[in-house]
Amino acid sequence: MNHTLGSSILYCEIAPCLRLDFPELDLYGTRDRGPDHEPAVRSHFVMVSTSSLCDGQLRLACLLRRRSWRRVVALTYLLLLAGALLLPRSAQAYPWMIRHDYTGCATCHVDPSGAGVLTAYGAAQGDILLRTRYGASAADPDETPSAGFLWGAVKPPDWFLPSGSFRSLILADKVGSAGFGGQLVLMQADLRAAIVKGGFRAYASAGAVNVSGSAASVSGGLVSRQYWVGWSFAEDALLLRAGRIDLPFGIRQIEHVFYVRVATRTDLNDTQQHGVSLAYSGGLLRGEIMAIAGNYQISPDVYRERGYSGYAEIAPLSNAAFGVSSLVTHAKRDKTLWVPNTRQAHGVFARWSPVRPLVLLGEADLIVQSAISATGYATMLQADVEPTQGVHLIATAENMKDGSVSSGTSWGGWLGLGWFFAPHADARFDFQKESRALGPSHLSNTALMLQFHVYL
Amino acid sequence: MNKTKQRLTLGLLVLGSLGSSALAQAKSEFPSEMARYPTLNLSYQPPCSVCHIDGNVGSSTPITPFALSLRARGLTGQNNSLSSALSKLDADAVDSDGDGTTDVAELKAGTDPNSSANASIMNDQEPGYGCGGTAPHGRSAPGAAGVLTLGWFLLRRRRGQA
Repeated sequence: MNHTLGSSILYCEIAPCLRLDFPELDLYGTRDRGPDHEPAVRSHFVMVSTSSLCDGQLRLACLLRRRSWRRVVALTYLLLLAGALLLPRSAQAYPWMIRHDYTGCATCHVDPSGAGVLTAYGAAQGDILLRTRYGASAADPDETPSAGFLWGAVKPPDWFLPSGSFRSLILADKVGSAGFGGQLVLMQADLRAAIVKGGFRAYASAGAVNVSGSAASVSGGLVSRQYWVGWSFAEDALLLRAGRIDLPFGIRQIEHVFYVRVATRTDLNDTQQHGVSLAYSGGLLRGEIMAIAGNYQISPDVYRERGYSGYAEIAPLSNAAFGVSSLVTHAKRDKTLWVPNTRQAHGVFARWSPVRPLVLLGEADLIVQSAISATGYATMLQADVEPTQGVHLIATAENMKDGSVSSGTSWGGWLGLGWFFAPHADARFDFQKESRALGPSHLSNTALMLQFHVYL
Repeated sequence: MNKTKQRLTLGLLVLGSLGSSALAQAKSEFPSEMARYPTLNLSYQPPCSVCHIDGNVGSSTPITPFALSLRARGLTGQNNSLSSALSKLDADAVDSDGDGTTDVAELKAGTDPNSSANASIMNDQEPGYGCGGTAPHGRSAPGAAGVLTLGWFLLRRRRGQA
C-alpha cells in the first residue's frame, strides 16, 4: 500500500522505502539561480531502503520502529527528560541560512516569518544542510531518513506537523568582582504542532519553564508561547492569522538575550502578543504587519500593550537581504517602568553572505518611550562562520543605551562555538563579556554558557 | 524491576532533583528581608521585578540594574548574602539607574531603583501571569524536570502493575 505524505514525500510500505522528492527548490543551496533570482528548479529525491535502518546512526529509528507503542512512549519520555536536564537550542530560527540562498523563512517554517515548527521540506533541510555529515555527501541519497518527526520513527499524516524543542543551559556567570556562580537552566521544553490543510493553518505550543512570572505562562511554570489559526491564500504568498504570535520585528534569532531583542521586547522566548497579523512571503519581498491586542496571559488589563509591530525585507540578491522594522505600543502601566508608557522601536537590519562560509547579520534599533526622556538604542553585528558543515564559529558585538537608565552605553561581546553534531541535536558554547552601564559607572560581567538542544 | 532499571530510575530521580534544586535559588524571603533591613525599614515589600527582569522569577533572571549592583556586592542565593550586599550598596551610594538618587534612597521613597521614570513600587498590584493571573513568587515554579521525572516514575509503576 502506498500513501502520499504531501506532494513531496512518498512513503511506500510494500517495498519498504522512503522517497523524498523536492522538485521545486535547489536542495543543496547552490548559487545557480534562475530568472528573477529564484532558486534554480531542480528535481531531487532521496530513496532509502528501510531494511538498512539498523545500520549505524539509524539504530534509534530502527529501535523505535520495532518496539511497542508503550516502549516508544517511554523512550520519548526519556528523551524529554534528558533534553530537559542535561543538554540542549530552541525554536529553530537560523537567519544565517541565507548562506544557502534561503532569504525567506516560509519554505522551511510553518510561520512565514520564521522559527518553530518545520515543514517537511524544512525538516529535510535540517538533516541535509545543518548537521555535520561525517564524510557523507549532502547529496548522498541514503542520508535523510532521520529528518522526520522523532528521527523518522513516526509518520504523522501529511497535514499534521508535530514537533518539540528542548534546550537547557549550564551557566557560569560573574558580576563585577564577585565570584563565579553556576546554575542549570531549563530554557525550553516545548511540544509543538501545526496543522496545514489546504489554506488552513493552525499552530500551538505548550511547555514548561523553571521560572514563575513568564509572560508566556498559562499557569505557574507551564507556558504556551504561540497558538494561532490562520488562512493562507494567493498561492501561500499571504497568511492572515490570529492568536498569540511572535512579534514581527527585526532579525528573528534564537539569542533572546541580545540587546536588540531585550530593548525592543521582540524575542522568541516569551514576548509574543495576541493579535492579528498579515504576512507576505514573495521571492523578492517578505514582511508582516501585526495589530497587537495585548498579551492576554498577563493581567490586569492595564499591563497589556496595544499597537502594531511589523517588518519588511527585500532580498535583491540571493545572498543578501535588507529590512526595516517598526513597533508602536501603549500600555496604561508598563510592566517594567510601572507608569503609562507609549513605546516605539524603529530599526533596520541586514543579512549578507559574501562567501558561503560567512554570514553577517546586523540590526540597529532606536527606542523611544514616552515615560522616559532619554532616547535609547540597541545594535548588533554578528559574524557566523561555518568552516565545515555543522560547525559554527560565532562572534557578536552589541551595544545598547537603555532609555530607562540615565547612563552611558552598555557594550557586549560574544564568542561562540556551535555544533550540529547529530540529527535533531546541537550544542553551543558561548563566552560573553559585557560592560554594563549602570548609572554613572560600568559593571564588567562575564558569562560562560553551554547549551544543548534537541528537537523532535 | 531489574538492577539496570532501578539504577536508571534512581539516576533520573537524582537528575530531576538536581534540575529542580539548581533552579530554586530565587528566594521568597528576599522581599521581606529587604523590607526589614535596618537602613531601609520599608513599609512595603519590594516587588519581584525590582531584581528579576520583567518579573520572571528564576535563578537566571536577577539581571535588572539593581540586581546586578547587588550581585556585584556579593548577593547570591544564600539568605545571608542580601543584608551584606545591601550594606555595601548603601556604603557605595550606588545609583543603578543614574537618576541622581541612590538605590537605597529610592527604595526608602518607594520608587523603582531601575528606572529614571521613578514610578512608585509601593503597594501597587503586580502583573499576574497565566489564566489565574497569579503574581510571580519567590520560589521557582515546579521544575519541569521534576515533573518529567515524576511522570517517568509513574509510567514505570503503571507498567509494573500491568
